[in-house]
Amino acid sequence: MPVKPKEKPAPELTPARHPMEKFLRTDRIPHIWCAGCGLGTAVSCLLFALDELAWDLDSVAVVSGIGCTGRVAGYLKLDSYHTTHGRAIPFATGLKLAKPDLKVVVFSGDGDLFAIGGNHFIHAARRNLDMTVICVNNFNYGMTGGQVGPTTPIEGRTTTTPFGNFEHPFNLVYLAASAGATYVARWTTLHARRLQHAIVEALTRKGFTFVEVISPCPTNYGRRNKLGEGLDEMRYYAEHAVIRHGADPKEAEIVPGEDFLIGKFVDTEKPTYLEMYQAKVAQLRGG
Amino acid sequence: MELVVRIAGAAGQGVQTLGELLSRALFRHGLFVHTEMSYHSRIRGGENAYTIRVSDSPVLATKEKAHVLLALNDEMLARYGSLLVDGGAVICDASLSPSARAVRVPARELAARELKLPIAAGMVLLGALARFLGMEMGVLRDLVRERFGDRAELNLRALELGAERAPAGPWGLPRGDPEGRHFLNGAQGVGLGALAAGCRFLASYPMTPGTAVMVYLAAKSLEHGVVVEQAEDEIAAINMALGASYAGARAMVTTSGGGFALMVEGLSLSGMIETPVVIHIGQRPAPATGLPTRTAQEDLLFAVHAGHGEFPRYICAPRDPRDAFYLTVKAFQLAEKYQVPAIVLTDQYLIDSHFTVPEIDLSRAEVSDFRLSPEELARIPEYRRFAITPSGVSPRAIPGVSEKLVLVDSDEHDEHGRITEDLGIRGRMVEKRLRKMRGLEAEVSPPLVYPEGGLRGKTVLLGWGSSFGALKEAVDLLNGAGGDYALLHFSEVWPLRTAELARAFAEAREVIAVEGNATGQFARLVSQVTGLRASRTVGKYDGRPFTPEWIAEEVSR
Repeated sequence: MPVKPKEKPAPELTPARHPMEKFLRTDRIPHIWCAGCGLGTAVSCLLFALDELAWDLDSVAVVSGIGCTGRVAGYLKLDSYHTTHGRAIPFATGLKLAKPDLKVVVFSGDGDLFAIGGNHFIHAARRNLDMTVICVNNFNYGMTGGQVGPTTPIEGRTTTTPFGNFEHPFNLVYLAASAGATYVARWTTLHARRLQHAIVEALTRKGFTFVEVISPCPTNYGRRNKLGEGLDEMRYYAEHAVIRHGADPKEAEIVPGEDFLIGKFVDTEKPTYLEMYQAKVAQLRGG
Repeated sequence: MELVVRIAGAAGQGVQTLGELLSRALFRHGLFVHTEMSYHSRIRGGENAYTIRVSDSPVLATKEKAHVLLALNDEMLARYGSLLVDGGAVICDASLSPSARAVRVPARELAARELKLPIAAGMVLLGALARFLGMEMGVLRDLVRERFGDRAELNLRALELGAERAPAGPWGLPRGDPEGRHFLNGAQGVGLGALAAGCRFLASYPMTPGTAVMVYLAAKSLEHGVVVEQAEDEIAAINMALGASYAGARAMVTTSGGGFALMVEGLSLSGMIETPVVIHIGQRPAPATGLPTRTAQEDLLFAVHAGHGEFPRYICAPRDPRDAFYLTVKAFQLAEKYQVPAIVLTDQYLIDSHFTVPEIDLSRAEVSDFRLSPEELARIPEYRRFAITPSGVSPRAIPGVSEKLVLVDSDEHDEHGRITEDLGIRGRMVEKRLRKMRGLEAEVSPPLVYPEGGLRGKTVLLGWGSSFGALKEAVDLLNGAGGDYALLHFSEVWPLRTAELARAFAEAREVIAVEGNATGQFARLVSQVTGLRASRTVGKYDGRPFTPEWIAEEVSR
């Protein structure tokens, strides 16, 4: 059943300050993202989550790759690293191993993390390295003008699939779960509070945790596929996103026009890379 | 007659659409048009400028100062208002207050009120600009119809609303005949060259500005039967291309310096398995991610030296989009003939700029099949893929056509392509592969000398690639001011032709290298190969393209 937005007084369109301004490099604002893009929401959710956790901000580092999502690191008043394309996870791995007390968050896009960075993702998940990977999935390469990506649905139009994509896309939830992630959740930018909660969970769990954020790209993917404005995509999420916690990750495929699953898919525990490493060192030193 | 028009606004305001419409309309007017795009690496906001230089004689370079600026917002008015020639004019919305002479049109109001389409404000201003330039509106209207199809009416109305409100400026644009000319950008030049050369396979990963060639070939893929695959990264892309090439298809990859860095392992594989591949590199400022949407000539020495081990390669650096067509064809031809990697080195400036060039002569595009036909293969009693020959080139059969096997191995191999640790064979294989360089050396065309004739006593500017137009015009400027300058310009940079260099260095009073990098990479290459040293290097590394004025000033400094 279509969800009708509640009647509310019109919000202030240009509030004087962002409620999470303390986390933002305000001298870098306005940001580069298009109207209707979901990145602002996704970043806000991370900031609200950090606020909720009330961690010492010096203990948090954000690493991102290249692309629209890759720009996130540059807007945060945290130790942040805007690395080369696809290499956010290996960079973050080095950072974490050299400074194990640091909370390391990788915040990047579907192309960066799962095409050029796909190999790094599966191996970081396999190692169960302590880090949280937040992937904003907008189904295409936005920054370079809207090319096909590893999550572009079949028949999706992009500049490099002008006749429609015919390649099977990744189901990121399934991929993360099978590669060994100990926490896997998916939300859309419509589900901001739940997304914030998922990020809090992901940040507080041990090991390799993964949150997929389904997000509109009205300028590139949305326009080429006639999905309407950002608001239309939000309506689409309201109508088609079905919350089912603990669902089989295999069933989390996204097919345009059909309902898709969101929620928490995996929440488990196993020894992390650092724990395994410390155990090995202790063993070699004779306990 | 010469006129420079600049359209500037934020990303998303339609700068590129307006610029393409206007420049193509001016081309159809029969004028020589050159465009240059300057843009930030973002999809919305930021700074975007489209500079159109128009003349009744050929133009091959951009200019810093414009006669007319169409400013779509206050920020761009401030940024580019200072880059107007004395007496230049601004076209802008009535809400802006330029200090220069201005035609102010209530474009935003008209677009919102009359058209109910705020984005059409740009089209209203384009109408005003076209009238101000004294253009025939019919040409522009035709182009709007071609571009917008069933959405054309509102845009045509927008053009009209603007044109009605603008006076005719002081420029009576002469009319000419565009017959026998093309209006092409570098991406189209490379892409068309690939199609003409029979390219059947392209695998790449998005990276500006190399992506433009992929987007072009993807759009043409159906019509021309080209498989276009977007790989998961550049390592995969070049290996896919080598696989396709091994199977007999003409294969290509397109990227930029950072993507080429990932391809280096595959480049070396191409050298070892003697499997042709064409690599297009659209250069941009680096290191690392650098300036994604700006231009540079920073990857020459990288391209020349990339890859572990020693193997021959061919590298060209086209001067303009037409040159890009012929040299891309030549890159395919030489890659196939010598079974080597061939690199087409362009840059963001060349890829994104439209040039008015003489019509391409397809009969000059030499395309031959160097593969061993199944019949020839049948006549050979014992097929050896890597047979040692005087030229170093071995017969290249395609796998799967007979019981004779086509073996390739990334390990050192014998003549059959079987892995070997026989160190005698190793030596002969190294020598065989490197002998191909001699053949390649004979294929490279001489550099261009401008003005034609001897170089005795002259100050010779040494350049390569897309800097040609600006350098040529700089020489004219310098000579017009009483100097005695000439240009020696290379569009094929490896193997390096040395005869002309030796003569130039012997005759010239002085040789000055002018390059789009900070360390004089071509001058260093020349010095490495010939021992000849340019007296100094004029380097541009701010991400902006060369202008003739900048070169003339820096050279005479």
